[in-house]
Parts: sequence; structure tokens; C-alpha cells
Amino acid sequence: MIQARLKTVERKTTVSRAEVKAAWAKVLGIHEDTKTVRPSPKPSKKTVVNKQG
Amino acid sequence: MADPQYNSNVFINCPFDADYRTNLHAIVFTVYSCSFKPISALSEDNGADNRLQKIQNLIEKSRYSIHDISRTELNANGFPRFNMPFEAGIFFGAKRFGDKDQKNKNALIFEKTKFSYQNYLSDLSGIDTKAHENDPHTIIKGIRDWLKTSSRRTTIPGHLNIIDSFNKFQTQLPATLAFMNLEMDTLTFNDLCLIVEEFLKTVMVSENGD
Repeated sequence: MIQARLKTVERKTTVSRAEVKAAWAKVLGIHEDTKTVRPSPKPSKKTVVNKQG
Repeated sequence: MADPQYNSNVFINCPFDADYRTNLHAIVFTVYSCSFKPISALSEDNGADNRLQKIQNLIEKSRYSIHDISRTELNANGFPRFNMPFEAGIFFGAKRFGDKDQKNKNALIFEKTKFSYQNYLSDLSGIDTKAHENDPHTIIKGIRDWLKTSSRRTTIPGHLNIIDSFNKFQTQLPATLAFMNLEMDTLTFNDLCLIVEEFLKTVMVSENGD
């Protein structure tokens, strides 16, 4: 795994960064939502008991 | 005053034709993977500067430089190509006669087979060139090892990791270009850089599970 600290600089390109990002996500089968959105944690039983007590 | 990115800029002086395409991809990919920034005469789009001026400016703001002098055959008109040895000469001139920042420049000289330069550029005698045998994986290892030893950065990954990632990149690149209605033959240097940047970011995020 490469953990580069990328030197991302804006250049004069014919496509936008968003287009390229979307293309790679599509081709590599990566869904943006699954990377950033995480389900809310369920309250633990202990928390529920304390509320009732 | 030196460019703020001086210590990260890598000036790329190599052929840009279709025959060299995979090698160019390997160079750009490796430079980014090692956390450096590739620049070339093709990355500038200022019509007000003449070509030589552009090249001089880029060399001035690059501490590192990769020169591939392997393309020595005659072109279709029967002439040799002098651009790459010429630009290498500018780089060595800047290192020799420049200020303190310029004097710490560092160059990697690629040739196709070891010591073949002695037949056409014997002034380089004493310079430790690297033979790439026209193999992108050899190019990746050569650049990675050179950047690691010359910069002493500890964040540079191993060459096998870069090769593995590069192979994946090359396999998926045609589909990615098709998705954006771009063609391999007409891909600009800046577009290539952007595509490499986003590939590495996407793969890194994916593998980190963030």
C-alpha cells in the first residue's frame, strides 16, 4: 500500500478534478458514500438500563 | 528566492511520444508515489514564454531532475534528437553556476543500456547513469531508489509496492479515459498528472478503509 503525501497542485487540465475522481470511483468500483458515511452507533444495553433506572 | 516547492519538484526531461508512453506513465506515477511533484515543459501553458525560457524556469525551480537520454536514433527526417541532452546540460549548468539552492540539485540520468552514452555523450563520463532497458518496472525502481537516497525521506514506499499499484493503474487506465471521453494518444501531461493524483488518492482511501 502506498501512503504518499500527494503533491496535488492545480494545473491547466482539460478535465476537472471532480470528473477524474468520479471516473476512478466508477472504474474501481468504489462508492463515495460507503467511504464517508457511517451508520450511527446503536445505544448499548447499559445505556438503556441507566436511562430506565 | 527559491520556489516554495523547490525541494519537491522533479523536472522530467524525456521523450513524450507514443513509443515512450508507458515509460512516461511509470515516471509520473513513481514521482507522485514518492510524494514529489513532476513537472515538464508540457505542464506550462504560457504562450508568452518561448520554449527555452520555459525550460530554464522549470529547471530553476526543480531540485530534482530525471533525464532520459536513451533516444538516440534518427527521426523520420534522418536527424538525431538533441533536446534531451541539451536540457540535461542546462540542468548541470544551473547546478554548477547557480546559487546555494541550485548547487544542491540532483539528477537521475537514464539510458537504455549501461554505458551506451559513451558512444554519443562521452562528456558524461564519471556520472553514474542508470540503464532502464526500456522496462517500466526498472524505471520505477531506479527513480524510487534515487529519490530515497538523495532526499533521505523516510516516507517513500518500497519499489514493489509502487510496481503493484502501477500495474493496477495501467490496467484500469483505458476504462477510466473512456469514461471521461479522453484518448490515450492525445492525453496531455497535465491530464495524466491529475489522473495519477486521483488514482493514488482513491486507492489510498479505499485501502485505508476511511
